[in-house]
Amino acid sequence: MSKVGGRGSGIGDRALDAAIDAAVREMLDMEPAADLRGRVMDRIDGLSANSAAGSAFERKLWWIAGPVAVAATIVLAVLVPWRGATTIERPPSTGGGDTRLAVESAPRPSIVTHERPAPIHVVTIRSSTPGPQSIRAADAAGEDVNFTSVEAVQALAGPEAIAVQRLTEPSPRSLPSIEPAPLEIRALQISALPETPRERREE
Amino acid sequence: MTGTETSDAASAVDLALVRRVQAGDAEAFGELVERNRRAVFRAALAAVGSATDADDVAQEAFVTAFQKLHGFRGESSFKTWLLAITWRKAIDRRKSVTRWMQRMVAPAHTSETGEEWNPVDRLAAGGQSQEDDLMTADLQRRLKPLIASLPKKLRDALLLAGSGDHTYDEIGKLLQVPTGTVKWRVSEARKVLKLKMTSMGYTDV
Repeated sequence: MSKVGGRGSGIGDRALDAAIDAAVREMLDMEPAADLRGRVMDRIDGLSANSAAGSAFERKLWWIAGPVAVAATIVLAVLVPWRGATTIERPPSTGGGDTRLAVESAPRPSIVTHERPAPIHVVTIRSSTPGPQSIRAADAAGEDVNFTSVEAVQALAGPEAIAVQRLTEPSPRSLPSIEPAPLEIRALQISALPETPRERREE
Repeated sequence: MTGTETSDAASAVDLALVRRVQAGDAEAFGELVERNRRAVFRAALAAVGSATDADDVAQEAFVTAFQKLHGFRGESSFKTWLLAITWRKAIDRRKSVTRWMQRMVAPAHTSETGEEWNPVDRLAAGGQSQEDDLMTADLQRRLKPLIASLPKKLRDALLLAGSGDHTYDEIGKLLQVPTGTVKWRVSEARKVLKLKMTSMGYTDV
């Protein structure tokens, strides 16, 4: 056997290989814990129990959530069309009681006021939606103040039909002839260049 | 897995146990754990370098294997399939463990019984002379940090091959490289170690 020594000592290739093998074996020379099997089986049992509990819970959840979901769907199916109808007929958002209140609380663009102090003008607003739909000012000539009455406003008439004249077709124009004129090429005169660069420069 | 059991026979026994587990016999999985725990632990240890981490990895690998066992078709041996799971778990663990180097090169280890032991004492118990034992121990003490500092690809191949629990084919499947590449990596690892030892003064005779 080759000598295995410390720093500076001679050592054979085989001895070094053997030392490497021994070092590797030593690094891995540990045994798994004896209770590994027990711990693994406990974990597996826990997984199975959780899985069973989970599936039972899921079944219970479905028994509750299923009918609730069906009922909610039916309620929505019944209420949604009704809600659409009431939206069309709904009075102004401020209610139909006091017109003055309605004016005061209405959005700024829907308020029409007159600067003259008297007589007081009442603005009647009727709207199917919160926005200003129709505004009618009371007659400026002096209608009595009536805080409780709400006057119905006729629906606005549609715009009158606009007559559009039929377009007249443009009269055909005669275009001038666009035939190309014949090209005129002047005769070119070619003279001989000086022979040397110096002669060219002097010239 | 017993030492006298051939690889094919062991695979057949494993497969029979797998079929029992797939049929609903969870206790059969305990037998699979018992038969493969050493190989799984050693593979994990080669990757993470710590017995505690290797134990955790082995446990996780077995639990994962149980959860995925319904998908095992027997195209490869159960052991190869299990070791592949183990190796993936171990590599994940290694990425998160920063103390690998310190643990791998620690001069003293704790045995299964909890006693601290020193490699020098262990080697001295053999039949060699005390001087040779001490020199060998010195060499191994110097080799361990060198092995630990090898590139991961070389170190993994060297440790897995050196454990004696895996064939080159199994290591190749584990590392997802051809068997020839495993052999080359082991040879290269030895070459690098020898070069380093030579540079430290351990010269050829």
